[in-house]
Amino acid sequence: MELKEHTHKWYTFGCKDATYLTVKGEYEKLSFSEKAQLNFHLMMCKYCRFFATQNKKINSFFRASYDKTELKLSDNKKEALNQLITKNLKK
Amino acid sequence: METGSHIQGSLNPSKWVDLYSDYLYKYAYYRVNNDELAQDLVQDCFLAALKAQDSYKGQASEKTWLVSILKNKIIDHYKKASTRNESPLQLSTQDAPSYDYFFDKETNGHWQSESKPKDWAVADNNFDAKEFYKILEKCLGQLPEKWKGVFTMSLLNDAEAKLVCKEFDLSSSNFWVIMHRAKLQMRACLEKNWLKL
Repeated sequence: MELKEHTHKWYTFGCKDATYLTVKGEYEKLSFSEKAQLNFHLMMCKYCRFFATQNKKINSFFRASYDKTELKLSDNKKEALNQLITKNLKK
Repeated sequence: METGSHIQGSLNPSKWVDLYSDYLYKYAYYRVNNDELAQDLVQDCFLAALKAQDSYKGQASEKTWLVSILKNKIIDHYKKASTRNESPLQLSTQDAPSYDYFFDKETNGHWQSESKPKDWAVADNNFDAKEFYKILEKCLGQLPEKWKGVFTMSLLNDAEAKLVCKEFDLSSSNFWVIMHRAKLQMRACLEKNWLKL
């Protein structure tokens, strides 16, 4: 079903296909013809070039925000967890 | 249970909270996007780990072992959350904007004029991790629950993508469709609410 959605022919290859292949290409080596169609499309289409750059930015910003953000449990919660562990150890 | 010994490869549960709870909490929080749930998952993780102590062989570090237990808990959460009878793609049609929202069928799938990506040049210099995440968090809330799991777990660790498919019971093409749709939606949401373009 989803494959049918993404069967693209060279004569109907549009932005939907280009953005799909951009995302797919992050995880899977694209075939020669996929790569050719995508690159040709990107050459012509400013918006899909924006998408490709932004796609990468979302990845790196998300990871960077994960690395930079400090997140701590409250002392109360830690205390409760410690008690829970102690209780379950004694069994 | 003997907890005082420090032989390499042994577990020391009385130290878990001090050593790992913040790390595990953040790990869970970024993957489920919900504070209360993240705390519950850490707790479940510790309880499951206590029960499974005998299965710990000391091959992985204590931390790695706990993370793997937590990860299973997170995946269990998403499995429970997704409706049993629906495939992830069917779920999407109700909860997320369809492709037609982004692309025009009439023109072989070119961008709808109001969906065209804008230039994010401004995002290079103005990146504030906290601010970014605050908005992304809101945007993630718009995704169907299962997609959120697939999206966060594969973005936080590229190598996991194949594993994510396996764990969420997705074919590769299902996975690409979910990532494509999620990216389209997150991109549009960030552009509007974060960059205010």
